[in-house]
Amino acid sequence: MVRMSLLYLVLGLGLQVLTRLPLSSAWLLNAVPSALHLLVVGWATQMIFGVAYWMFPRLSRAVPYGSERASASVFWCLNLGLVLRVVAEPTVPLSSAPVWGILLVVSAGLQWLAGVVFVVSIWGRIREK
Amino acid sequence: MPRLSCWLVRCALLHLIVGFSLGAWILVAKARAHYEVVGAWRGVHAEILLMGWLIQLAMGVSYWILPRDDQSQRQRAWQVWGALGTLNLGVGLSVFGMGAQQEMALWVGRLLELGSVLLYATAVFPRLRRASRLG
Repeated sequence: MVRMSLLYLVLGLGLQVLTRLPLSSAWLLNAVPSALHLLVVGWATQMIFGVAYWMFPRLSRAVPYGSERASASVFWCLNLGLVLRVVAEPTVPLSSAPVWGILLVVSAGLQWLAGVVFVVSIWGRIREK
Repeated sequence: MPRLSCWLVRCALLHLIVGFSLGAWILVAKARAHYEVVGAWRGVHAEILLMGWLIQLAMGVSYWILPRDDQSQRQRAWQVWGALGTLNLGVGLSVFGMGAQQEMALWVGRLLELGSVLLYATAVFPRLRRASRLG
């Protein structure tokens, strides 16, 4: 998660630069919200998720970090959702093909699921010591 | 993790769920070309995730991991409890103000958020000074 968040930091800042170029295409101008979300979701939120899984109080000796399946699903849902968003969000206003709208809805669902599964999986580790 | 940090982090996580749910709803509206929904709720989405999630989480985790100063921590715990209450009240009022277009509620909410951050910063500041003296 931390590695991916660093990658999104570079991608997000790179896309921000591209959207500011004077000769930006309509697609790039539509990508401004996606570039912002690469930074706040891909970089900041994913970095927080990764660091929280590592440093929050351990659950138990047997399963110190909780369910590995849950943390893996958070990783895949967040990253797949974000990539789909970056592809579909700027394309929706430019295309009449319904597939882009469907991909954007799938992206919304995946990112939401990542957030909910993260909260459920980390909740038990927030406890007094 | 101190009890105060637990409460701050739990409240931050609840804001994360609400903020992500709103964000997903905004994206679905965008997919259906309902751009008026996007414009109306974008500010609320940002407020919940910036103040309720990111800043509250940073307050909770930093209260836990910054160098301990037991005497100061006990004396100033009430300030951080106050910061927890005013931040969540402030976010709630700001969101209400934006959603219902009530300027007064928005202003009071923002003032409460500022008060919360001031309470928190003055409570943890002595821990930083003591840590820097110890080198």
